Amino acid sequence: MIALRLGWRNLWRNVSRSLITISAIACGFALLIIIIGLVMGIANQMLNNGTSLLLGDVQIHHRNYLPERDLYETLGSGHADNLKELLDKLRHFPELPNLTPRVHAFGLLSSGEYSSGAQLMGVDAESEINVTSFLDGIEEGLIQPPEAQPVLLGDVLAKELSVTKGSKIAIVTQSADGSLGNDLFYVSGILHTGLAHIDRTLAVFTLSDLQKLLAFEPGTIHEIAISIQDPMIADQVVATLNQSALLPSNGIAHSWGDLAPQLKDYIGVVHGLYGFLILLIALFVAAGVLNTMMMSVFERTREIGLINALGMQPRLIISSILFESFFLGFLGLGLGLGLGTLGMSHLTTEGLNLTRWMGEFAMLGSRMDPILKAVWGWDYVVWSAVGLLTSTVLAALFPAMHATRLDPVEALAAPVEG
Amino acid sequence: MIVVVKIAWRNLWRKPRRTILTVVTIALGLALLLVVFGIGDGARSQIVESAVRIRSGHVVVQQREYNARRGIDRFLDSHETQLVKEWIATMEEVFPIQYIVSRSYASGLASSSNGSAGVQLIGIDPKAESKSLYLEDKVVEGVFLDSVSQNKVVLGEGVAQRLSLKVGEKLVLMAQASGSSEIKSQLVRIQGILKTGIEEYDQTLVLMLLPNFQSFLNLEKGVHQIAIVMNDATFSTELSSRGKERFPSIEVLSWEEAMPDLADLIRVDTGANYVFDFVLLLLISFTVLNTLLMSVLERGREFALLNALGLTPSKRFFMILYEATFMAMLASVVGGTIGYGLHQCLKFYGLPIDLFYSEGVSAAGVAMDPIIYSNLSMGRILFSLSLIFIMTLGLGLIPAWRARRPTNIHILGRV
Amino acid sequence: MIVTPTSSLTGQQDFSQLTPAEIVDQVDQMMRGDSSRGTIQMTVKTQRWSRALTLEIWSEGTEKVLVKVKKPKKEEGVASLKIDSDMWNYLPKIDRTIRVPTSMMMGFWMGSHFTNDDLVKRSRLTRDYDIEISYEGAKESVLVWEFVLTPRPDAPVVWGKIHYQVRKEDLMPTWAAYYGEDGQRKRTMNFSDYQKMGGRLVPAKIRMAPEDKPNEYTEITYINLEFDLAVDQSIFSLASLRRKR
Repeated sequence: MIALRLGWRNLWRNVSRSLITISAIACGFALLIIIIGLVMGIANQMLNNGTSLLLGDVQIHHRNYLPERDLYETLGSGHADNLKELLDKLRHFPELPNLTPRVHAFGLLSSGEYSSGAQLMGVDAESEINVTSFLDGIEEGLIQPPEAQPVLLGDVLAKELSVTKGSKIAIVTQSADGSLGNDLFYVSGILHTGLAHIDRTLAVFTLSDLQKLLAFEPGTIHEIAISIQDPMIADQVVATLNQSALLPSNGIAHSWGDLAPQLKDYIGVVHGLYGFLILLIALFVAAGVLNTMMMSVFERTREIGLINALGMQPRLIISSILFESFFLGFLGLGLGLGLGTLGMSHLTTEGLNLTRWMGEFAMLGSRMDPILKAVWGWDYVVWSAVGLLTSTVLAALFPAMHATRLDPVEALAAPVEG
Repeated sequence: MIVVVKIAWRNLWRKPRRTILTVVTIALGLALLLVVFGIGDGARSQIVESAVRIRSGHVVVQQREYNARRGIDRFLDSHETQLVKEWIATMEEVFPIQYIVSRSYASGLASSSNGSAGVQLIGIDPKAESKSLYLEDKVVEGVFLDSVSQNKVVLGEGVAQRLSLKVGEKLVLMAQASGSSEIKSQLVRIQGILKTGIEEYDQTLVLMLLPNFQSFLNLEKGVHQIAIVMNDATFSTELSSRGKERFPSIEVLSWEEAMPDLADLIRVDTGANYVFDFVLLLLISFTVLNTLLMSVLERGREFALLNALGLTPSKRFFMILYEATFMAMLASVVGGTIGYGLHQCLKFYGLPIDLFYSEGVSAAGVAMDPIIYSNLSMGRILFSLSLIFIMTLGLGLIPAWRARRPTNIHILGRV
Repeated sequence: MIVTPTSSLTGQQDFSQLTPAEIVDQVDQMMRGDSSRGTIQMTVKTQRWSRALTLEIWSEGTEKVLVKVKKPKKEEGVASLKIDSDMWNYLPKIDRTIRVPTSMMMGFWMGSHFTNDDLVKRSRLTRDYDIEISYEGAKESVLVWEFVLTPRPDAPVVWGKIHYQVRKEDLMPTWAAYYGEDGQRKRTMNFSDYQKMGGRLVPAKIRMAPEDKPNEYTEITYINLEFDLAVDQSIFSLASLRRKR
């Protein structure tokens, strides 16, 4: 207890020195928090790009729908109200406010002169835009089309078919009743994701138009796409969903990680790579703190020698110095957390506007937000706090032991400070 | 002035421990900067390299608008091919051209007795491709094409799965031939199955020999693309603009023009890297500033003494700046050595990021290598060195300004 | 050309003098003639649905085929035209003619178990296959030949081999089995209901069944059939494809 009190008092004997050390730890920790936040922000943005463009974080299908995507493995049936009821039931999950129904098929698109195979996708544009971003800016084409039977085409597909906004195209597909579903559609918009395989093959319809073309009942769909707050917990959400009675009995939920294992791996790489960099930086900050602490204790060789000569137990001296450095570290981390939180509160809400450096750009296919928003990486933050505190205390140990072992005469001969 | 320099140098070694600690802090910062640059640039150049090899080249020569509509008829005929190849030969003296590959593309249908699949058919020259694509390493069954693989194909794993085919079995390719609307069929046998890790390719890729492709689809000696691969991606724009002047009627594209999606990705990643570097630098400077401030704080007595001995404030100011300069120099040597050493390690052994994932990874249609090798240009080294110098000197100004202040002479009497 | 199938009806010609390839070629010719016109009923049964279509078909050689849907009413006028390796579909509901791209050629025609390609290529058996007799004699008290058709080395066909049974007496095919290269049977075509139509004996019923979907089949029944008419060339044109008739 004496050591603890001595440590606390020592802290305030040389206020400016302590403040410098505290600020060193604080600044290091605050910047580390911000770096972690930015890195997690980048990783998060990449994940969002991957999932929020078209995939969604979670999808529900008939349990036999994947991987063949058989036209007949559907969810729901009958009247459109059945579908609404199904979706409303799922909305009872607090995590699932945003979900949207979809129908998928394969068909032949023809502009007369040219024809091309395409992925046909029927969406409910109004709920789709709350889940994914591929319709951003062109959703009006489906919600308020100037003509009936609108379709949005990928830009490469549109070019291949030599059509533009306003053209009419014919769509032919195998309907569920075996007949040849065919109809004329009005190209009400061109979509560009930057992802070649989407821009080359995707044609988007309103849910009811595609259901009609496929001879589906208005309550029949293939897929429910869901976006959740934190994509990283998608697996947990899926586990709960699959055990829940609210899920249609023939349905099964999949997380983005199951649906796009490559994306999962990519996020893994980003985390791994940046985790490595965070480790390097944390080590650097620890080394900086170590330096400051060592310097501050070494400067006090004379003082420690004096106390030693006065007969204070070396163990007590060492533990009081360790407590002192613990307080330094603790205060530094506290202050750093405060500063870091201050910075993060700006970066998580306002974000870092990168437009000045990079201009407008698309990344991994989507119109990427040029504003980088930081995200708290709590596990990294906690681990670096532990690491920093340890290195602070350890940094004091060596010079303290060194000073107590010195012959008092030798220690007193150390240059006068200050 | 020389005297002040000397005093500064001696000052450093009056308190070797403090000097060493400060120098080590700066040096570690420099090393960190170098490693971050090395890994970042390494990852980016690896992505560009593999994209250049698998999707196009550093410079791509093709018919106008070929990227927009990949019709079978939009090929470079034998005359154009000849001219382009001659031009490339003359450019070889000026640019570090490694090799060129010629490819032809067609979309078509592959069928077996089990079903059929839409495929992307590519005619290649295996000898040139072996230097470029490293596809041989990606063959999971059978072998890659060789110069005598007449009517043999290597196809993506996904295609083989959809058609339920194994090596040695046959399939029928159908595609529209050039110059007519005629659809031609050709029987081929599977020589190998490959897995690139890129979903798009594994699901659609069918490779065959270029001459085989040309006679199948009536291309004569024509090709759709001539791709130039260089030792150094930085010459891409220059070579392509020369090509544009030489061949105004056809398209000569740099990799950024040929793959705008990838160019964007790289641009974003570079930008993010700069933000990262900036915060890092801020971090380093705080740490260094603390060390410097600490040392000035401890030296009140010394400054008073120097003052008493007649060292003018401006001389004291410069003395501290010289100290900072010396420390920056020492740190450059130490940090440069550590950083460069780490870079050499990471260049040789690489950073195995595949520890973090199971399968192959791809972004923007490019497979990411499982190991990232550091890549550090002289420009980056000089940039980091000057950053560290400017930073240290800039930070040195603060304690230097403080040292100018006339100090209380009574401090000398303190014990 | 006209002589051969007609004479076959008499049942007096001695077919055993012919080589296997010649026999198969004759069967082929008989089924097709130089040109033909017919009405067929097509029944498609899948696990999910079954439906019946009435179709009218014109053909000339192997190169030109025109098919028009007569019934059901909903799909009346839907038509396919094939000339050489090109194929177009006409859809009256939207009044559009669509060229079928290469990548869709193996799609199943009109939802049946016949591929577009089956329709486009028709038979080129003697050109693409080496034909041998694997059995000659009585099966179920009917004298038959059984042939093994092995694809020529470079022939662009997907099958590993085809087994084909033909009645000796009148050259009527009874069944054909299509195998993959792995030796597994992929699909079977059964012929039955032999009738005289348009002056020739033909199997009026042809049933195609895929092996991997045991409950599915497509059955074609000829309602009427005429051979070797002086078919107006203009019938194989895009204009005629659209004509309602």
